[in-house]
Amino acid sequence: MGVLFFKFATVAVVGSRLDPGVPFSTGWWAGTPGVSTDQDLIDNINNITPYSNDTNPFSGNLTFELDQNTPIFQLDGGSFLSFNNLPAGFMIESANITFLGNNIDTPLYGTVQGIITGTTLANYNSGAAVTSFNSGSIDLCQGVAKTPLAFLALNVKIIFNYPPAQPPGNFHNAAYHFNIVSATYSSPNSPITITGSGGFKLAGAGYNIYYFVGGDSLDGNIGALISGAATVESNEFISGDGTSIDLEASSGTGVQFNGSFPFMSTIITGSGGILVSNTGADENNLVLSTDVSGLYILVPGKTNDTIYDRNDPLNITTTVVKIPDPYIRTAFLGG
Amino acid sequence: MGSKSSQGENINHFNAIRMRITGAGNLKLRFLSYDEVITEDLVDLILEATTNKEPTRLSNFKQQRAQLELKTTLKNETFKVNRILIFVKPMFTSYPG
Repeated sequence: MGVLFFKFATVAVVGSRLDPGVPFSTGWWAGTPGVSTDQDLIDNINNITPYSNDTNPFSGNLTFELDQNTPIFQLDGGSFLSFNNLPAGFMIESANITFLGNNIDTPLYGTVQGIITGTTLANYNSGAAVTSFNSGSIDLCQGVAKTPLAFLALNVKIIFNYPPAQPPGNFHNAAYHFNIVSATYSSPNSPITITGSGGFKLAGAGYNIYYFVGGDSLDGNIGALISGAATVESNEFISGDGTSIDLEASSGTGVQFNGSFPFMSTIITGSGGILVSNTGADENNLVLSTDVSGLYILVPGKTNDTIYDRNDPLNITTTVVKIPDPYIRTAFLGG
Repeated sequence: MGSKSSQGENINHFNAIRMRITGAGNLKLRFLSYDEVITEDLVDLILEATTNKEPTRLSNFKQQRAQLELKTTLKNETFKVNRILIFVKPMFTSYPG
């Protein structure tokens, strides 16, 4: 799970006071109601100038207009990405919105509630007199991870309630602003897992795999080799003379992975082998051993055995060992 | 030596061996009974490439029939045998019926 930072390109502010006689946008929001920038929204809420002695609650709806091409998502402090550049499966795990009252001279009363599509979120403030509304936050995700599209389509209704039992005017003397102060995200595993033996495997089907060997030129599409989570070893790439392979996986939503891995070190010697099975599906299962034994060479006067170490075909070494306990036995004598 | 053919099942005392043998290393000597149920290891014989002696090794192995094993166990040990003498004396005619 990573840290997500939002930079909203545009925010729609639609507000209405519950008192039908006074439009929410008149005198309550200093800025221009309707579509505005995020800074406008913050400025508006920052400068609430309600009528004094007003005890009516008021509310406003916050929506985030989706802009698919403007980079507004920042993942773990990296560069900003647009919606279209987010990795497939990207999910917003949490997004805490907070309301800050910044007039500490006057006690504040009331509660701040958030309502998302009929779900009432926890009160931001219990209603007790506090000097600021900065002691908590409301998670817009409420424990349910949302896709960026679903998140940006949220319509959050914010209600400022004034408790009738409190002295009029105190609540509205405060000034507020809100912001998303923290957010987290999760991303699915990479569609490609590089294996330690010099190969890779896919998390699933549905990707086109392109490989590049020894440069940036497109050498081939090996998508036909991929089947689900099957492992593809580097020795299946028959072209190229480099020591590594660059791989790129793409699906319908763009490039999902690009990276490289080295060719595994493979030495195949053709000097020997063992046919380990001659029946069934394994009838062609030929095993090549790097230390196959050679034939004995009879040497007059030789009193030991010599083992040839063929692990390094270019530098064969020998080891002298004893002949395993040579012995003779007579026939049974006596009777 | 025992009889030329299996004419009896006397219980014999294999009491010594003597060999004309050359080589290198230590020669392991062992008597074995039928199915190797009873064995007796004799004192090792130090082999020489050339020798003018036919050494004797005593033994105390009592069986109806016995087999003598000569063996080396280390690298580059060799032996060459030209003759083996095994001294045997009948002690009993049979086990109790």
